[in-house]
Amino acid sequence: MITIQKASYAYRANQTVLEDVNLRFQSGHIYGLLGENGAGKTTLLKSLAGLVFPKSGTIDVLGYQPHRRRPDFLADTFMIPEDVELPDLLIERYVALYACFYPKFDLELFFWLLETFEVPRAARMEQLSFGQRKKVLIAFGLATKTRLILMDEPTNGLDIPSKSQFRKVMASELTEERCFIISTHQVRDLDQLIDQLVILAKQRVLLAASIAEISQSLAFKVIPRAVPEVLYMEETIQGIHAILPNKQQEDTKMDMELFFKGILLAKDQLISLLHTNQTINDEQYI
Amino acid sequence: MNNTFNANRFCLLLKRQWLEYRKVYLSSVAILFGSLFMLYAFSILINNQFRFGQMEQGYLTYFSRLNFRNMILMMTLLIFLSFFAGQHFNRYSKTATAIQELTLPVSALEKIMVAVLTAVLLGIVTYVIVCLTVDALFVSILRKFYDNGLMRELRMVKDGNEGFRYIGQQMRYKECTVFAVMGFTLSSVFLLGSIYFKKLSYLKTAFAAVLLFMFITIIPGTITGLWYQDQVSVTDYAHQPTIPTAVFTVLTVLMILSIWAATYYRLKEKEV
Repeated sequence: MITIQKASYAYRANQTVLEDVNLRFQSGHIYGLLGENGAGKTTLLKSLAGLVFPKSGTIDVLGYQPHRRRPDFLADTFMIPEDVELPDLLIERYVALYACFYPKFDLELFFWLLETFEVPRAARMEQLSFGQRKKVLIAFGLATKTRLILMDEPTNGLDIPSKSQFRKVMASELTEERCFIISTHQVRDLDQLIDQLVILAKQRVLLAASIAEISQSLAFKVIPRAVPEVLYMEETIQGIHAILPNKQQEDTKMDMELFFKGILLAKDQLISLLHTNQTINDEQYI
Repeated sequence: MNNTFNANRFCLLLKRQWLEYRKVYLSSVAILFGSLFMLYAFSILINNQFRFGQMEQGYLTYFSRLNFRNMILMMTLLIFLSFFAGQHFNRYSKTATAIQELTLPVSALEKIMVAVLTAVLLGIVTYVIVCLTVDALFVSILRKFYDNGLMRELRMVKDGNEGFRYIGQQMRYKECTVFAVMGFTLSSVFLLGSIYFKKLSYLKTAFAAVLLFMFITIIPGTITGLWYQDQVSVTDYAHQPTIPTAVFTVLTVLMILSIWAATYYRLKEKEV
């Protein structure tokens, strides 16, 4: 669905944002794009939407070069930015004006999603809070039925019940033909939602692997005291949250936040144990 | 699906443009109408020393001339058209709204056509209609005074003028051309500026336009003046060759088309 080969981006001559990125995204998956501030997450999403142009390398999305911004490519891609500013219109008027640009738009789904998110459909955009406007845009994006949906920090501004609703609707709207890529630094919001993980660090792809592969190789446990096998750990009130080699092939729940911190601080130990298709220094694709 | 131009997409974009910007448009028209009305009223009552009490004494020398109009029209043309065209791409100045605009499934050609149609042509047509309306309103009132004999003294002091004439009757072809060229150039330059500059686009475009104007008029004029300062001009202005109308028209059209082309490429290459 998406192939990125040796792509580099720079806003200025000596300000590289992404360097030599190789990635492949497949349909039927929800990808979590993680990274520290300034790692290049938003730039990567923008490049997939054709909003920034690569300095070098190639990028193919749904068979198109995104930077050309052809209408049939744009009609099959939707991006939800971190900040949401919508024109001051009634929601119904907004949909009437914008939905017609997306041939597969599902109006019933849109209003159902609004109901699920508890956003009044007769409201004006100006009357809505930031979180509610974000929910309108998320509902709109999902209702476009585009094959590719890119979300930049979608849970920013959402309250706790809405985050839970968000995870549910995202999971329910994923089909074999669609691909969702979610960029966030609120790692816990993606718990039990994503099935693929891409981590960016220092303008490069640090890791790209499936959650199943990670869970197969690593065990996430709360242990009473430190043991020599621990790859990465954090002390909390409940005990020591630790990442261990999954020698017994135990079925443990992946702690996304712990893993994210671990991969940044103990990269070599963790990656050496991820023995399947993971990407290290962009040498392979997922 | 045609990725360059599709009539359906174009119409949808035009409809969206109108429904989203109609408030701005109608407010701008109301402000233009109000400004012109006030400027006309002010100029007639103050600048031309219109006093009812002095009518019988024939003091209304300049009253019939309405000679302030070109200045007022030029001033309002500059402000209205630059503002109207300058805010067309303002949704591209913020990242959040620019993303929505750039990812809207329409081609750059459709976007630029809608921009030219709504920001340039609609702006100019609106301006002309509002000007003619305000002018007609005032001239009609003045003509009524004239016809009712309230201004019979005016006939004696009007210096051969034919009384109150509508602006459309008074303007010569040359003046109309100057206004048309200025209107199209100004709108097109500010349309380009609104997509070219990300922040403070109106001010930056105005600054760039002033610099360009200085560059193409004042600086060459000053240099020429300095060059010939000790020489006596023997130019016969009456028989000085002028640029033929056809050449002038072609050059103007080419210049405006070039500005539109630059706007198109800027829109196509826009990154956020």
